[in-house]
This record gives sequence, structure tokens and C-alpha cells, in this order.
Amino acid sequence: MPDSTPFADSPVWGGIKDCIVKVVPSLRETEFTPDTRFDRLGLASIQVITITFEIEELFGVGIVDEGLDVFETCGELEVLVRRLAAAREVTA
Amino acid sequence: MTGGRYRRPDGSHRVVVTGVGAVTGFGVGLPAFWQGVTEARTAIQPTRRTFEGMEVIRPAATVAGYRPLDHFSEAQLLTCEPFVQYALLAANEAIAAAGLTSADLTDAAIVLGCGGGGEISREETAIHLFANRRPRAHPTTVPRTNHQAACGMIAIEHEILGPSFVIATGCASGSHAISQAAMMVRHGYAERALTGGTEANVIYAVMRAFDAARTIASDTCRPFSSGRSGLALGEGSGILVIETMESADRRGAPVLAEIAGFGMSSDATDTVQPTIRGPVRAVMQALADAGLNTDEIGYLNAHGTGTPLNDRVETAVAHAVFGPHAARLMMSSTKSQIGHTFGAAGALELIATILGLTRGVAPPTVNYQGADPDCDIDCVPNEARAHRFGAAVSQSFAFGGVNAAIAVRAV
Repeated sequence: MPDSTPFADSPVWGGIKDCIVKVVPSLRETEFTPDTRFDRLGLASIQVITITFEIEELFGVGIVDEGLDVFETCGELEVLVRRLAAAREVTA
Repeated sequence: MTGGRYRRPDGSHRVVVTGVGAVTGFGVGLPAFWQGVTEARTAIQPTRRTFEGMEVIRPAATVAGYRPLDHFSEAQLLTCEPFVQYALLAANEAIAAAGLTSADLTDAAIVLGCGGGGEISREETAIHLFANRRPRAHPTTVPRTNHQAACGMIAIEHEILGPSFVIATGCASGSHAISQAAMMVRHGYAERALTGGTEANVIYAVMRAFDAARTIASDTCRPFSSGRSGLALGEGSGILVIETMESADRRGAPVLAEIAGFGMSSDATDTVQPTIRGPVRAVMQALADAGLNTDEIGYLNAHGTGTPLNDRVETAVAHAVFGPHAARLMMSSTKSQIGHTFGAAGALELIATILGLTRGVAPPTVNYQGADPDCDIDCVPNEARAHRFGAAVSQSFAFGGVNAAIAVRAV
């Protein structure tokens, strides 16, 4: 995925959005941008932890295991997941 | 000060029930429960659970028309299994019925019975880790599976700061919890308590487990009847507000009944085969504790699982305790209507007993096909009976050979 792909069209972001909606269905219609901050979504900490878990499951990556659960925005999370997924493919 | 309206002969507080709430196979709320009971319906139906091409269909009573999002937020549902949800719904109903607000409950105790806790999440986690061979468990596995989540949720909702805990004695959990809570209120550890039980474990693994124990009925639950073949699973919650008589009077609360006495015992014989001596001891203790003679008991809500052995033994227990009065005793099984709700059973059955006491109706045993000579008691077959009684007993027995009985009295 070249970095020039619009955020909304990124397949990685599409997967992340699916994970968010799986945990918090009421966010289905929410407009997300790269600058959308997770702490502004009104989520409980257990919801954020569960979304992270769903992303790890979907992409087969270890966000928490690598001490990387430090993202603040959707854009940062998308970049992080893309990087981890790419690294996994290289390793594989 | 001893005796009188506010104190028992030993000087401890008289304890009364001032509000009840229920979630059962008949739906959410006490009106649905009582309507189902008095209309002599059953909520039990063939219930299907599947896993990857495997299927099991067994009789069960799950909560009709239940939609979690009608009652809870997404954030709450993430950490609350149905057994927790049901407990909070029943507690809210009981608190409102008692005319209490959260501010009245700051120092209250919460004592609930729950047999299995978060069985749904345990099953999902087992599938995830072992069948799907995934390395991580779901992050909510621990908070969802904890039995005490039910107490915690009620405490959070109403900002209750008093003691709260769960008693897990399987099928007797609810009766043990109410006995324990009544003991605490009697002796001043709390002036008020929310007590009862909750359970929601009608899942594939539990169906298979009870199947393997040869306890599930082939068709439906028909206690004390000819042709009975076992229990039906059930889910739900029953919660009671109990308080000292003094507290109820002080605030002009409606008093439904007095928790007059309770008895608890162990069979000390076998893990799965019930005895007569254990339950007899519990019921006799409850009557003695209440200061009630056997012939004052007009109605008994039986454990009444519908297994061939339980009902035979329970009939023998009734004869041993009540002697000739057993022939006049109405003794029915609410499990024939709402299934075996395990940790909630003792509470829901006591609620049925109390409503029967206040409204002059003996709850029925439904699905009754005909007499079994081993069960020569009046099980109020197939129709609720208009009949006033001033005192009653509800009793619960559990695997492990543990028993609890509660005696209630009209006030």
C-alpha cells in the first residue's frame, strides 16, 4: 500500500474500522479521519483494549506484545498496523 | 428488647421482604413471571445450541424476547454477561418496588447466589484458545466470567458501599444467599440487603455436561409426575430487597412477607445421590428458627427438579418432616414452568412462594401427566390454586449434598 493512498480507501484502515464497529456498533456511521483521536470517541478503556485485541486478531500482529499500544489517532494506528503487517510478511 | 413487632425472641431483628424483581423464561419483569405462573404456562421449549456442525437440542427456558441493548449501553455489555444483566434488571425492579432510591442503599449488603458465572465467555474462550489455537484470550474474559460481576454491577449502578459477595452452591446458591443476607440483617451487619440469585448458562457445553450427568429431560420437566425424565435448563434472576421490620415501618414500606427462618445442612453422604437426612435437617431447622409448627405450613415450593430420584427423595423428605400434615400440604415445583435456573432457582422460587402468600394463590406444577406412587403429595397439578396460606417453605438442594430451606410468614 503506497503512502499516497487516501486514508479512507486504505484496506488496512477498512479492517481497523471493522474492528472498531465490531466492539462499538454505534460508531458505524462515524466519520473518521487520520486525525481522529481515540480519547475523543468517548470509549471506556476496556473498549479500547478490546478494539486493539480485535485488530491483532484480524491482522495477525502483536500490538500489545510489542509494547506499541501508544497510538493516539486513527492515522497513527493505521500506520502502526501497516508497519507490523508488513514486517510480519517479510518475516514469513 | 426481645419479641414484639421488631425483634425476634432472641433479640435479633425481624427481617422482611419489601420488594422483589424477576427475569425469567416468561420475560423481563415480575408481572410476566407471575402471569406465567398463575396461568400455569411453561416457558420451557426445545432449545438448540450448535458448534461447528455439531448440534444439541434440549428443553430449556431462556428469557423470552430479551434484547440487551434495550437495557444496557454497549460499554456495559462489553463486560457484562447475561447473568449480570439479569441480576441488575431484577435488582432495579426490586428496589423500585420497595420504594427505595439509591440514596437509601449506601450501606446495604448485596449477597447473591450464582452457580456458574460467566459460562458463555468461558466457552468462547475455550473455542478461541484450543479449537482455533489462538494465542490470546479476549481482554474481557476475566471481568465477564467473574461471579461477583453481578454484585459489582448492582453496586456501581446504585453506588452501594456495603458488603457484597456471591455464594456458589450450585442449585442451592439462591437459597443460601438469601439465608446469609437475612442472617446479616438480623444481626445488624446491614439494615437492608439486596439478595437472591442469577444464572444464564444455557449453552452448548452446559447442555452436554448435564446430559452426561443423565439429568436432562427427554421432553420437558414434569416434576412429581408419572413419566418424568429429568430437568430442563433455565436462566434468569430473582432479587429481593430485605430489611429489618423496623426499617420497613419507619419508612412506611410495603411488607410482603417475613423471612421467618432458615436452615442449612449437608448430606455428608454422596456427591450426586441425594439423601433424606440432609434436607430434613435443613427444613426442620428453618421451621424451628421461624418458630413455626409443621401444621402451620400451607405451601411448600419444592426443589422439584423433575428427575426420577430427586422427586422421590423430596417426597420422602416431606413425609419425614411434616408427618400426617404432608397429606394436606400443597407442594409444587416452579421449575416445571421456568426450568432449573440453578443459582437463581432458590430466589425465583422464594419469590413465587411470597407472591402466592400475599395473593392467596398456590403456584402449580405444570406438565403433570398423572400420579406416581412414589410422589404421593399434592403438587398442585397443572393449575394454580386459589388458596390462602399464612406460612410457607421454599427449599433447594444441590450436588455435593448441600441444602437450604427458607420459611416465610405473612405479616
